[in-house]
Amino acid sequence: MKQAIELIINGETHDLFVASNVTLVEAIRDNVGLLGTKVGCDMGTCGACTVLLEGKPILSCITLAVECNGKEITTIEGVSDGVTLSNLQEAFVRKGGVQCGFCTPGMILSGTALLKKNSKPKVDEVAKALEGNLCRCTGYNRIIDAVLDASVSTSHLQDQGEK
Amino acid sequence: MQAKIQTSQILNLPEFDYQTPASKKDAVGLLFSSGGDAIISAGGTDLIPNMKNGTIKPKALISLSRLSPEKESITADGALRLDALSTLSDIAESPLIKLKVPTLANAAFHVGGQQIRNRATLGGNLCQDTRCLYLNQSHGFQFVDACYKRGGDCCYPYPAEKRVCRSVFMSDTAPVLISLGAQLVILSNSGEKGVDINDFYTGDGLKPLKLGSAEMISAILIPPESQKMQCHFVKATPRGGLEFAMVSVAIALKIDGPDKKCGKARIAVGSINTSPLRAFKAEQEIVGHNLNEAIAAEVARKVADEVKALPHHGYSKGYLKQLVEVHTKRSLTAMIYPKEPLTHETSD
Ligand SMILES: Cc1cc2nc3c(=O)[nH]c(=O)nc-3n(C[C@H](O)[C@H](O)[C@H](O)COP(=O)(O)OP(=O)(O)OC[C@H]3O[C@@H](n4cnc5c(N)ncnc54)[C@H](O)[C@@H]3O)c2cc1C
Repeated sequence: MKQAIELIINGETHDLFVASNVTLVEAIRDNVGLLGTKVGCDMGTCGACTVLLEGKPILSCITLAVECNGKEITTIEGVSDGVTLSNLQEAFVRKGGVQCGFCTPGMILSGTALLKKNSKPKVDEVAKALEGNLCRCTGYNRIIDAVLDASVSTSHLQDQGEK
Repeated sequence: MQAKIQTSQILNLPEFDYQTPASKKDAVGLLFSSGGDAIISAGGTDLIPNMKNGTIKPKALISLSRLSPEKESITADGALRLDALSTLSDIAESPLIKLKVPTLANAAFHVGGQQIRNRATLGGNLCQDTRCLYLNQSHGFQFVDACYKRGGDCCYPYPAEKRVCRSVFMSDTAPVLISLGAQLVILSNSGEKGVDINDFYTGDGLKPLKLGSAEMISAILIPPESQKMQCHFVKATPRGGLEFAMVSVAIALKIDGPDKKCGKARIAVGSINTSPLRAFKAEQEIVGHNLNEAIAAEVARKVADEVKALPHHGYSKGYLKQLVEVHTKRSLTAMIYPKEPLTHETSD
């Protein structure tokens, strides 16, 4: 049974007609065509599909698209303006927090949500906030360094505010 | 809109009807009229993976996504009332819960990762399905027949037993709520009833909850006396993040006076059997004693003897028993000597 829903993705409203068994990540990738959000395990374990729902990180592979009707979603495409990187994205580049890149969109979204809530997190708070994002390349140290590095400056808060 | 490119579906989520009632009352009404074909979806963090791997195949989902949880509050008779729809993030961050029953906030904070906690609800945590290495796999990869719980005719971990399922119940909040003597408010078409959380779990892996198909948990009540007890919760995991427990231990004690006399005790152990287990006998042994390190060691041994561990997820029975003893002893010691820096909240 298909139904009409409205997803506000990165500030833009998308009217979709989806079946109830379509997950949010399928809607984002297949219906809307934004391919930055990754599908890793498709079971809610790896965090590659992390997006922000009303500002909070959630797993789009185990969330139904119909459950998000009328809600605001931020994907990796909405973190920066497509020209300049966000503070946290720059820190990932600076600190070598990206290797194969598959986990990176999820990491950035979990990290962005953390920094918005807690602009000066401690190492263990960063690790805790990223526990739901698995990375098979970096060994996490550089990712955690990147989030800490970005937290030194809080200009990303203004970036987010403008979105 | 771009053409459908289908890059995103690894696991198939079967079709189902989907309804979004405007109240809990309407939700149980829909459950009732579905005649057992429909199931509640709260955060969906347990349900959707289980539907993807084919463990459960509901014809319809009654989604609670339109309902907002009531804020936690203290009732006229002093109980702490929690809405079953509260997310685990809400529970973990609530100042009132942190003040009154910090172990519950702690347990909620150690469920999954932040993405799970932002969606997962307390009611869903208490009603999550049991788990086993076989069950929580996608069936397509396995090329084997379905087990009893999937409607088949065998059990892989326990091949000799007939029609028994020993999948393990792994909620982190259930043992804590047992230690806190919580009451569940169960809603159905015929109204609300109170159920002691001790009586909510059946111990049958095939049907772990004593919950009718047209019933739901509406709220959770924590009595005033429990809010004054000393509490402790430990979740033992191999890595310390995004994991189900190997063993969890939740303890509430009433400790009186300079002699540290134990006036009341509740000890619950999670994740080692088909339901959370309560160490009733060991509780009797500790009540009336002046607490000290020797008592902690003795009671921990008794708890480990009393609660029977099923080997699960690769952990042997003997290892789990030892974990129960060690973590019970450390918890009790931390509670008896609260100044000591011995709070193993998540241990390695
Ligand atoms: C990667 C990952 C890690 C996880 N880690 C943990 C962990 O460490 N500890 C842990 O305990 N769990 C864990 N879980 C399991 C699950 O996320 C949690 O148990 C969660 O709290 C379930 O809540 P929910 O609201 O998402 O439930 P749902 O998935 O919506 O529902 C689960 C079940 O409960 C029923 N239900 C839901 N609400 C009610 C209600 N109010 N009344 C009656 N029945 C109801 C549903 O019908 C369904 O059968 C994990 C899951 C994943 C995917």
